[in-house]
Amino acid sequence: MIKCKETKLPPPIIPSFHYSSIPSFHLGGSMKITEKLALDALKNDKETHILLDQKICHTCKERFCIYACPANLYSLNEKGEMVVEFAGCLECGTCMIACIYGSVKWKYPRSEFGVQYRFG
Amino acid sequence: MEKVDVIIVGGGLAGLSCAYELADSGMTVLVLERGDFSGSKNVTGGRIYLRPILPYLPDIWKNAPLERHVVKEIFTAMGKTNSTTFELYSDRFNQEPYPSYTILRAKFDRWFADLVMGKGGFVIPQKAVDDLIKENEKVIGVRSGDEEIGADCVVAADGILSFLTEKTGLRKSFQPQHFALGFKEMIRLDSKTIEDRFRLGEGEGAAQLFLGTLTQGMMGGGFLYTNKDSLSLGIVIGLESLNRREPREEIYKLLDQFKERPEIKNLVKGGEVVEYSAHLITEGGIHIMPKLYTDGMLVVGDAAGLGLNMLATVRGMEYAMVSGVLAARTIKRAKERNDFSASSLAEYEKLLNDSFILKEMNTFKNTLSVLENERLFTKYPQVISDLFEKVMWVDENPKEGIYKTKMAELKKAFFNIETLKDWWQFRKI
Repeated sequence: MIKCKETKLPPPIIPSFHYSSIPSFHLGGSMKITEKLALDALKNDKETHILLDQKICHTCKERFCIYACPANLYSLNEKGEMVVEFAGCLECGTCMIACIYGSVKWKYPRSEFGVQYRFG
Repeated sequence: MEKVDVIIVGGGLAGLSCAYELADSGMTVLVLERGDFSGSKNVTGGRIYLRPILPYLPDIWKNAPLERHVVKEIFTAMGKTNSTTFELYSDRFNQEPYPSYTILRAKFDRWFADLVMGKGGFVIPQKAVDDLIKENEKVIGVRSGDEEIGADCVVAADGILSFLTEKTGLRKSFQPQHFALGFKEMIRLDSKTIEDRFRLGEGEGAAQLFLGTLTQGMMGGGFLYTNKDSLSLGIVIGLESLNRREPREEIYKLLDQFKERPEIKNLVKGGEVVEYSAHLITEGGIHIMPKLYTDGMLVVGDAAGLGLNMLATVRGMEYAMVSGVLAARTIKRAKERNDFSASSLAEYEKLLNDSFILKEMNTFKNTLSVLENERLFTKYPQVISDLFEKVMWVDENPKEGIYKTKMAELKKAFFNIETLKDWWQFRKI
């Protein structure tokens, strides 16, 4: 089970066909990134769509992925391995390109899975 | 293997425009969209310019679910503790046909897909394409899961990360300096409040760009678009700039810090965040465009690298739609000849070259080198606001003559070799 660095992501949100009941967050204090992701309609696959080459990650000092992912999905676990919480992925592909060492093997989630934007 | 005339991979603006143009040609056209519906995997800032598209797609706009037509263009230079805003209102922008509208892709693309279906095209959602089927280097179909579908012609409309152009060797591998990350919040706010805050009439919209300290030295900027009853508030950051940033900080925090600025806080007060999204934008311009066709396949939209940063605005959606139409026209003529080889499909590139798309991409081919000047994001926005602030500040000291002291400041800030060189660079765009 891939764990996130801070709080665990909320359970997968299965959107109904009517997107009218949209959860929202009143602006007051600033939202945590996990709270922002929880607003999105996400259907999560059992398997990750993002694979990392730990041999490459092991030699990387910059950790571009951690800083570049707008969903904050990358972190180092207790064993010092790079892990990615694919369940919150916004499917931008930034990590794949930001990792100039080629560790990130990225493809889109399978059909029916991943984020489904309601506004875009 | 089942076979159709044309398979369009990707049901976004480029793919749907291609399908729409092909829909009454008598050919069987399949649009394969990986999302639950067209638009569910797309993100824009954003705003679409209609006038370049109208000559190619004149009839689709009557009931199109666009947001607000933009009558106000706002530019804000942000300093660390101050900012200066220039606001253009124009009657000319406020006359039909309106030049631009703010837009939400999950709404618009979804509606456009229905339009395509109404015209006879087939848009199949939840159908990600995993691979191309080739016969001696010619593309003859696609594979989606266990299913194989053949086609005379495949249209690669699979967006900015286009795996189809990679699989056919039409492009080189992606470099960070050629991309920018855009990420934003959708903030729901009732339409009357939006109109009051931005001083707009009913249905009118504003587009605001921010340059300066909000990107903390990195190449990029902020944006804010008024939709019918929501705001799109976000930031764009060049990926290479992001990678090089010192000290290191997670990029998502930048938007939270931006929202802490009084200039933003007061604009979005009382709003509810309802979505958080991110998408890549091409920054490399004409230099990094892939090849646009091969035997049995054409490339359109973002997959073809058709996107442009013109500093004052960004372009992409218009290019996507028109390239889709031009691809469709090429396919119709290829069908007449029954020839879908590269040499037959090459007509597509010629059509693109003759259109505003490649003409503009050529004109602005040096944008990236101008953008690489970090003073655009640090010094110049700060200096403008500092100067303005000094002029307007009054305290217990007797105020000094404006011309004498401000000219000294201006000279120091702008009349130096560095700035003169920057100005010289600006001639490139």
